[in-house]
Amino acid sequence: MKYKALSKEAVARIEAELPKYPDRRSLTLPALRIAQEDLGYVSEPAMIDIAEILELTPIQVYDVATFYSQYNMKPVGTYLVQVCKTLSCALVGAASIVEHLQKKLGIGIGETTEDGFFTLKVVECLASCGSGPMMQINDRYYEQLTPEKVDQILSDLKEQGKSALATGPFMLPALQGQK
Amino acid sequence: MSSRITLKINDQEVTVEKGTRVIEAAKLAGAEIAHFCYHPKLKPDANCRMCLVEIEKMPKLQTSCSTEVSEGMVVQTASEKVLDAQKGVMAFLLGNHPLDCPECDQGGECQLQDFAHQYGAMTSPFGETKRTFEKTYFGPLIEKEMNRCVSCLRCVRYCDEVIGSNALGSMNRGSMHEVGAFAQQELDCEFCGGCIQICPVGALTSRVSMFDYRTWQLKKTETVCNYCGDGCTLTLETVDEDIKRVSSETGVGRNGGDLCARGFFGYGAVNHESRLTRPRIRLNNNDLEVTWEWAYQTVTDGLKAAIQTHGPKAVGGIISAQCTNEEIYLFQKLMRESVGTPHIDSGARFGYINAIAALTDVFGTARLSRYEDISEADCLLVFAGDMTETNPITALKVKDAIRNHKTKLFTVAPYHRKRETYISHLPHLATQHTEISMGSENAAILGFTKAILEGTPSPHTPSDLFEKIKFAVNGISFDQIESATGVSEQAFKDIGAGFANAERGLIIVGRSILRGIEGYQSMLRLAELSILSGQVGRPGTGILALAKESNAFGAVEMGGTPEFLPGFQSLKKEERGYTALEMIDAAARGEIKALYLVGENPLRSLPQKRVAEALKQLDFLICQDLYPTETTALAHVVLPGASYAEKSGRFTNHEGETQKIREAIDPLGNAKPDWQIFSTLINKMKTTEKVPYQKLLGYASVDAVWKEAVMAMPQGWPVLLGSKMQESLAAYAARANVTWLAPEPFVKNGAFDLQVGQSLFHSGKMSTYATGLTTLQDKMMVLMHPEDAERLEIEEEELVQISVEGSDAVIELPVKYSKKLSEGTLFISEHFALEIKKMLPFTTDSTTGVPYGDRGRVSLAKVRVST
Repeated sequence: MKYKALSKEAVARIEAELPKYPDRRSLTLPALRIAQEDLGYVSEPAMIDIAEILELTPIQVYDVATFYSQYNMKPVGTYLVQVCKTLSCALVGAASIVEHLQKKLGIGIGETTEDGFFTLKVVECLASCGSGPMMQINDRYYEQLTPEKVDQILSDLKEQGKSALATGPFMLPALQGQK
Repeated sequence: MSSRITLKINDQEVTVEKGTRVIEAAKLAGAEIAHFCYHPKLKPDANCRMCLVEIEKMPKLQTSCSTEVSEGMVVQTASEKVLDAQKGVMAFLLGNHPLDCPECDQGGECQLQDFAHQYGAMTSPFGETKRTFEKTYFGPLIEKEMNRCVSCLRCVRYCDEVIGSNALGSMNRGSMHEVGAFAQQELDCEFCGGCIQICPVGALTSRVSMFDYRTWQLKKTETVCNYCGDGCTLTLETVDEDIKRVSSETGVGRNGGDLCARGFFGYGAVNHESRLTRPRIRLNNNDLEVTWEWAYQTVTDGLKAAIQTHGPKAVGGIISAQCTNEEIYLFQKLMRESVGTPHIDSGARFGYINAIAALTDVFGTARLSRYEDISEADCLLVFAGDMTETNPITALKVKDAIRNHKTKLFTVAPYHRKRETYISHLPHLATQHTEISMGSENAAILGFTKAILEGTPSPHTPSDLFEKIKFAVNGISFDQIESATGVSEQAFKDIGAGFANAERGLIIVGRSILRGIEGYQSMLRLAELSILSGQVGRPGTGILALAKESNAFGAVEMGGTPEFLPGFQSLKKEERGYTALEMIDAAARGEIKALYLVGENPLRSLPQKRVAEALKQLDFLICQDLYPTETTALAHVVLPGASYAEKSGRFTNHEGETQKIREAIDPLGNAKPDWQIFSTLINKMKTTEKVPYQKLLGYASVDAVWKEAVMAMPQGWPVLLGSKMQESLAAYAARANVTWLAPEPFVKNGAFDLQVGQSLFHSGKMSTYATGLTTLQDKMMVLMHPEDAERLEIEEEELVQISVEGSDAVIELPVKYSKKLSEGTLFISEHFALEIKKMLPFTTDSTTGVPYGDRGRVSLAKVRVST
C-alpha cells in the first residue's frame, strides 16, 4: 500500500481536483480539507500522504496546515463545537456560553469529552455578527444562544444526531419573520 | 536602449540597473537600510517590515526590499516618518526577544543587535510576560532557539530557493510562529549549514562550536575547501591555532558564498587528535620519533641507495590530488629531476585523468566549461545523477540554471527520478530524466550519438570525423541499445534533438563515467558527441568533468601523472612512467624498490592483497600523510604533512580555475607544509661533498614555486580553448579511431547491482576525522529501494548479508531505505570499512590504467536471527 493514512476514496478525490489548479502545490488546502473529512483530523501520516500525492516535502504541507486554525491537528469528537469569541459575540455574552459549555460537558477548551462526542474550541469571528452569541458545530450554525438552547442542542445531537435549532450556515432562518 | 535608471536617495542622485531594488540602490548611495528578511540571494518577501522608506508620491511607506527603482524616484530612508515606523517594528521584534545576548553565539555579528543599537528605544512599550519556547535541537548539528527568531523566514527561503532541500517550514502564526521541521522532528536534510549562516540573529546556531568563542575573537582566513573539485571559497575562523568555525561570504568565490555539509561542518578533521605530528623512522625494527633533519637524511640516503643499486627507475612516487599545485609540481620535479625516474602519479589516476587526457587529446585543453557556462546554457545533458552528493555546489549551479535561467535539464543515470525526502536530487528536477540500467552509461552515449547522427548533426563537424562516427555506429540498432540501457529509441531521439538543437548545450559528467569501465573511451565518445551536436567552443557549451579531489585538475596540469609534463605536455608512450597500479605491480616484481607516497594509501584505494604483497617487496617506503593509515604502518619513514588549513598554495578546480589557499593556522605539532618538505629534499638530493646542503637556497615561498611551475609550461598558462581548437580538432579528426561495439544486453537475474560511491556527508577518508560529519554518518550502510526491501521483508536498520558471485566472502551491513535508487540496485558509501571493495570485480582502463572496482552484481539476504 502506497499511502499510509488516507483512504482510497480520499486519494481519488484529491487526484480528481488536480486539473482545477495551475500546479500541484496549489492543491494543498483542498487536499488537507479532504484529509480532514476522511479522518476527522489531519494526522501526520495523512500529511505525508498528501506530500507524496502533491510531490512536495511533508514540511511544506505541515507549514500550511499549522497556519489555518480550521484544520484539526489532533483527533476531535463526533461534534466539534466552535464558539465565536470575537467582539460582537463577546458583547452579547459569548463568555458565559463558553463557561456553560465547559460546565455542561465537563471539559476545558481544546478538550474532548470522554465519550468522544464533543470537542470544545473557541474561535475568531464566524461572520454571524448580527446573531450572537453563536457557535458552529461541525458544518452547522447555532445562533442567538442561551444556556437553555445550548442544553437542548447538545442533547438533540447526542440522542438524534441532529438538532432542529441548527441555522445557517449562510442564511439566518431563526431571525426571519421577527421584524 | 537604456537599462539604467537614475533616482534620488536622501537628496543624492544614483544611477543603477533597471530592476534593482530600492534597498540595493540605497546601499550604493551610501545609505544602509535596516532589514532582516531581505537577502541578496533570495527573492523579496517583505515580511519583516523593517526596511520601510518614504517614496515621493506614494501615500504610504514602502518596503524598500521589494520595491524596484523607477526613473525620477525620490526616496527618503531616514526621515522622521521612516525612523518612527522602523522604531515601531523594532519594538515588536524586541517584544518577545530574550536578553540572552551575553551567551548567544551570534552576539557581536547580530543584525538585531546592530539595528536595535541604531533604532531601538531604551524602553519597551510592552509590559506583558515574554512568550517563551523551549530550546530545541534542529537535528544533531543545529541548535534552534525560537525565542531569538525574528520570523524573517530567510532560513526557510534559502532552503527552498537556493538549496532545494525543502526541509524547513514556517509553522503556526502570530506570536506563536516558529520555523522548523515536519511535526517538530529533528532535521534530516543536506546539512549545508546555510540556514545557520543566513539567520540574521542567533535563532539557528551550530552545535559543533556552541559557546566556543565570542565572534570578535575570531581571526578570519579566506581559503579554498579541500573536500571536492568544486573549488569553494570559505573562511576559516580561528582562535589561536584552533579552527572554531567555517563561514562564507555571500557572493564571494566560485561558490558565491554557498557551502555544503562537508565545507561547513568538515573542519574538525584538521586538528584531529590522531594527526601525525612528528617525523618517524623505522630503525632496526624500532619505530623512532626523530628530528626533521634525521628524517630528511634518511629519505635522501634511502633514495640514493635505491638509485645507486637499482637505477633511478627503481623509484616511484604517488601524490594525493588534495595537495597544492606547488606541491605536485615540486614532487614531480623531485622524482623526475632529482631522482631521475619517470614513475610519478597522483590521485587524478582514480578517474579524473580519463577526462583530462581525453579532452586534451581532442580539444588541446581540458578547460572547456566554467560555472558561468552552466548559467548561460539553454540545455544541460548531465551524466551525474549523484551530483548533489559528489559535487554539491556545482549541483547548485545546475539548480540555479533551471530555476532562474529556464535551462532545460536532461539527466542520464542509473537512478530513479524520485528523491529522498529532504535531499535534492538532479533527476527529480530534470526536464526529462533517463533512468538507465547500471553500468550502461556508455551504451547511453551511443544512443545519443546515433540519435543525433540520424537527426540534425552539426554542419561544423569535421567531415572525416563524421564519417568515422557514422561508420562506427553503423550496424548497431536502437533495439540493441535499448536492451542494454532500458531506454527507448524515441527517448534517445527526443533528448538528442533537444540537446543538439539547443542554442547552447553543455555536458556534465561525473564519476559514473570517469570511474566507469573504459572511462577514457567514454570521454572521447562524449567529446565526439559534443562536436556532433555543435555544442563546444562557444559560451554556454562544452564539457565539464566533475572532480572528486580538490586539485585533480591541477595534479595533471602540474605534471603529476606519467603521461604529462607540467602544462599538459604530452609524453610519448615510451617516455611515460608507470601509473599508480603499475608501480605497485612493478614493486611486486622487484623492479621498483623505493616508493614515496604522499597522502595516498594504496591499501585502501587499490586491490589490497596485491598492494600488500608488493609493499612487502620494497626496500624503502616513504609515507607523507596527515593521519596514520594501513600504509604508514609499513613505512620506513613517515613524514607528517600539513593540511589545507595549515599551508598556502593553489588548487585548480574542475573548471580549471586556479585559486589561492591560505594558511589559517600553524601546522599541528612538528608537521610541515608538504612543499617545504619537497623543497628541502630537492636540495638534499643535490648535495655532494663539494656542495653542502647549507649552501643551497630553498624556495622562499609558494609563490616562487608557482612562478617556476608556470615558466615550465611551454604553451604558457593557462591554456584555454581558443583559436587552436579548430587545429586540434582537425588533427584529432584525422587520427581518431572511433569504435563502437554493440552493447551487451542487460540481463536481470534477480541479483542486485551494487554501486560503491560517495556520500553527501563524506569525502574520501579525511572527512571521517571531522566530528561534525561523523555525527551525520559514522558507519557503512547499504541503501536499497523501499519496494525491494518490502518484497524481501527487510526493515530499516536491519542487518543484511551481501555476497558477490564467485567469492566466498560475505559482509553484513544495516539497511537504509533510499527512494532515489532504482529497484534492483544497491548503494554503499566508500568512506568507512572497505571489505565490500575487496569483493567486487576489479579491472583497469586499457588506455589510462584507471582502476575500476566500484560496481558489481551481488546477492543480498536477511540475516537469520537464531531464536
